[in-house]
Amino acid sequence: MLTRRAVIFGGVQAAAGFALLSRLYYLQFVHGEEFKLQAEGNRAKMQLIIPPRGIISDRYGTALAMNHVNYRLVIEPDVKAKARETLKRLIVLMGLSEKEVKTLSDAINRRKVGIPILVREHLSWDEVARIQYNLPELSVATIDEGQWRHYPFADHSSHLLGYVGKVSPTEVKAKTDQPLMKVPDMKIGKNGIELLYEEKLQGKAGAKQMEVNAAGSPIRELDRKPPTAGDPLPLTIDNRLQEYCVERLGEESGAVVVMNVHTGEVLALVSVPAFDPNEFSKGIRNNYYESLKANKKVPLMNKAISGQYPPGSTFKMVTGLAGLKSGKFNANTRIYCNGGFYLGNHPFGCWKREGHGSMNMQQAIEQSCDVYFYTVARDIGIEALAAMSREFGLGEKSGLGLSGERAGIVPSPAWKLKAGRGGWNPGETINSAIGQGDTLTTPLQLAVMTARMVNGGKKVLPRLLLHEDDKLMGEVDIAPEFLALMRNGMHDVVNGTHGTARGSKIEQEDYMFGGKTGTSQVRKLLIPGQDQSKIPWEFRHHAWFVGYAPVGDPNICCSVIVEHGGGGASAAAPVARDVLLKAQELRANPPLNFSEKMGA
Amino acid sequence: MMKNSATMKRFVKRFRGMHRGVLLLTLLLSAFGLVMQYSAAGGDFSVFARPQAIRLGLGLVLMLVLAVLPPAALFRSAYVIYGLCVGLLVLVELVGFMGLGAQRWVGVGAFSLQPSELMKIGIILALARYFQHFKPDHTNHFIALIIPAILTLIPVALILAQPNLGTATIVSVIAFCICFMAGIRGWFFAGALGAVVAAVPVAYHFLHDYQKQRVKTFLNPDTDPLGAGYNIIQSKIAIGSGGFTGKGLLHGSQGQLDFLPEKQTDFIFTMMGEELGFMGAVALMVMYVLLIGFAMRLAARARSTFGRLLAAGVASLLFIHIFINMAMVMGMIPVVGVPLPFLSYGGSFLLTTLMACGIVQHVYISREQTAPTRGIS
Repeated sequence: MLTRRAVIFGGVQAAAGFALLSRLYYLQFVHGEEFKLQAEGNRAKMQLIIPPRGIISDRYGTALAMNHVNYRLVIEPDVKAKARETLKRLIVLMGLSEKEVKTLSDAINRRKVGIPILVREHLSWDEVARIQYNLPELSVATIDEGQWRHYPFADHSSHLLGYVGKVSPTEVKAKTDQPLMKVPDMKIGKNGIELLYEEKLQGKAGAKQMEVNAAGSPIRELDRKPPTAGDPLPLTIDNRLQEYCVERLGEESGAVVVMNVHTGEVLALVSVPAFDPNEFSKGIRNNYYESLKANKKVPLMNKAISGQYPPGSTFKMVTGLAGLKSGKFNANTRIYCNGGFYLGNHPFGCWKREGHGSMNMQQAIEQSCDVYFYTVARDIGIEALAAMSREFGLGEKSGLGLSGERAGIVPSPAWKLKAGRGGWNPGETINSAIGQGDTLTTPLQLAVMTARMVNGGKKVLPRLLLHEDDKLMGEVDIAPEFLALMRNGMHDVVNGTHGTARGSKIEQEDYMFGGKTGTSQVRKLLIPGQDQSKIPWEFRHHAWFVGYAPVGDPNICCSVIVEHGGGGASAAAPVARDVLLKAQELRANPPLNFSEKMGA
Repeated sequence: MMKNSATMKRFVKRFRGMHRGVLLLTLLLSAFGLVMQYSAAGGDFSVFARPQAIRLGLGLVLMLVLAVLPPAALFRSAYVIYGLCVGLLVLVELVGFMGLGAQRWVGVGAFSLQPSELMKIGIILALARYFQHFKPDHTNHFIALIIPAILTLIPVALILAQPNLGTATIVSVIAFCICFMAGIRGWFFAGALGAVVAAVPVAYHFLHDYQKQRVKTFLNPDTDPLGAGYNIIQSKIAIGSGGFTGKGLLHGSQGQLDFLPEKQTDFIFTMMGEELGFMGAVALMVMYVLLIGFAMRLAARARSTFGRLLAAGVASLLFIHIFINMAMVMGMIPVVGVPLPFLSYGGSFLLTTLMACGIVQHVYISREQTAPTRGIS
């Protein structure tokens, strides 16, 4: 009996043992390879490495946007008690504020294992050294190295360069094909060049295979494929000129665009006041942003491409050319200005109350006679004016591609109807003749207009990348002698005996410049001839100047706007004079180390 | 003085009479356990291995004491030990009422002891003793059969109340095996089995949520791979990825990188299977088979019923732990908290295991004795 039962009991055990052995065989042999793969998948996780962003430089290789190492103090909160202990030590070591301590304590309580908590970033060398020295006591603290975008010239090119920032949730969704966008530290261009050439600047992500534990915390690196840095991006900008323009504008609110009239290379694109993009790339502090937003000189706006202003008298060349092209006017057509002009019963005044007397077209440009151009516009009509405006790039974007660029407005009956403003009023044609009324232009557009005016009629377009093939350019549909007539008029504006900007003349013969003043009304004049300095800043006229140099063989043009500067001759022309002089000097003198760099 | 020296000689004689092979096997398995504890701590001896080594020392002393104890002494103290174990269970229950949640431990000096583990030895001793005087014509007698049932149900009920389903099941199975080996009639087992089957739905109703979840998870582990099914899936991956030779001691990625929860206790076989592979696992199983086989041989050959049933009880104790633990970590049965003899970290169960080995040695030494009651030989 007992033995029989022992045999049964033993048999059951043997069967069970066999079952265990079979299962072991099944797991380790039949499915062994499969489980090996799964174990490997558990063990190793891929982490993308953010590529270093391409360096943006000016045409001579001066870096305008570069990458700095961002030393960050982080704590790995896997074990709560250790994280708290470390935090306690850091309070003394780093002098953490009460508010910081509270935020960090909360973060430790809400921690996710495997995701480090940032204590401080942008640590100085001194701080890094202090932490390294005390590291043995700071069990879960580590210093990690990130990158941050540094703009050595701070606010001098902030509008042009833009800035970088964290990828927003909507951008992550829009770019699901780019896994880099999901990396927490990833920064992408948010504005300006940084945004426009994001693809070139971004580079290719690297990857490292990390061994991780079950909590997802990295243990060690298994394999690494280095990232490919973004392309360096040399711009057409001359940083020395860019800096000069910023300084020259000083405390004013305004913009300057300097361009090569033949190639369209933009040498300077400045808008003041500006902001410090370094603050943005470090993670914008709210009060800084608020102060920028509250500033009535709108530092966040790139006035060179987004600012739309009536062109004022700088538009008179367009009106003049439209008149010449119509055949109703020629170089010798004389018109008498007695200081006023009537369309029906409606009076239109010339800025010179006492009148300019009898003048031809070149003289009318030199002295900016309103009555002359009122007459031209009345005789050729608004459509001819609008067509000529478009020849010079007005009313459309330049194709530069920077975000925020505006197209301006070239008014016409069709445009007005479409805008829901009713039928065309003949008086509007008269206003348009001198660049007032609904006409709106950006400083960039006026630079383009000026370039086409003096480069022999090539339809040049602005560009920012240094090594870019010249675009095939069309030509403006105007006889060369008409363009020459306008150039002579612009020459006289500065260098003639009666020129509106004769006070800004450059005496060095090689550097002499020409141009055109403009003043655009912000508010209708209440008292004719009122002294602009006596009314509140925000009601003063905008001051324009478009210019080119040298007068003999123009290669550089510029447009300058000084918001609420009063008058073009007094506020904008001196700036344009200095900028054009500087631009010519700099052009003749590349930076000293430039040739060495190129040789090396 | 003369008497003491004679007693001493008898002890020495019994000590010499121990089975060397089984003693070696016991020591080998214990050393193997320490090595695995060393690996479970990532190559640190002090975390698990050192405390385990201290308990091992204590357990080996207990084993020797049980081995050399005169048969009459063990026989007479059987009910006392059983009673002590039940008393400790009651004590735990009382302390548990005062504290909060499941209470399984009592403090004994610097150690904390799980009486439910010692109960496994207690039930073996009590039942073996009971059946020593059990006459063959009692096998059909209801009253005679109700006593072992009561001896079993008291501790089982107390352990269930902790609540500790795993240990309660094991104590029941051990009792069942002893009764089976004692020759109790088939109809009684059929009745007991029927009662158990009838009790399953009721018992399921009384299970804790986590226990219900374990059953459900076992039935379909892939439904929630990061939740309740995680342990089973990771355990299978670990064992399976070990292959024939394993990844090497301290080099099992699943274990060393914490993908295995409880790797030093219930899932120690998983870690071993990953690091030492099929070879290591089979070597371990062979050692277990040798040990259980030895106990089974004694269960068939010892002259006294007490001895035979003690050996059978120990065999069933070792077998049921090994089977449930291995079957669990290999995903054959639901996750039940059952440790693996010699390998799992934990003092109380290591003591139980070594005491069981002591009992086997005891039976081996006194295998020729027909009646353990008769004095000291």
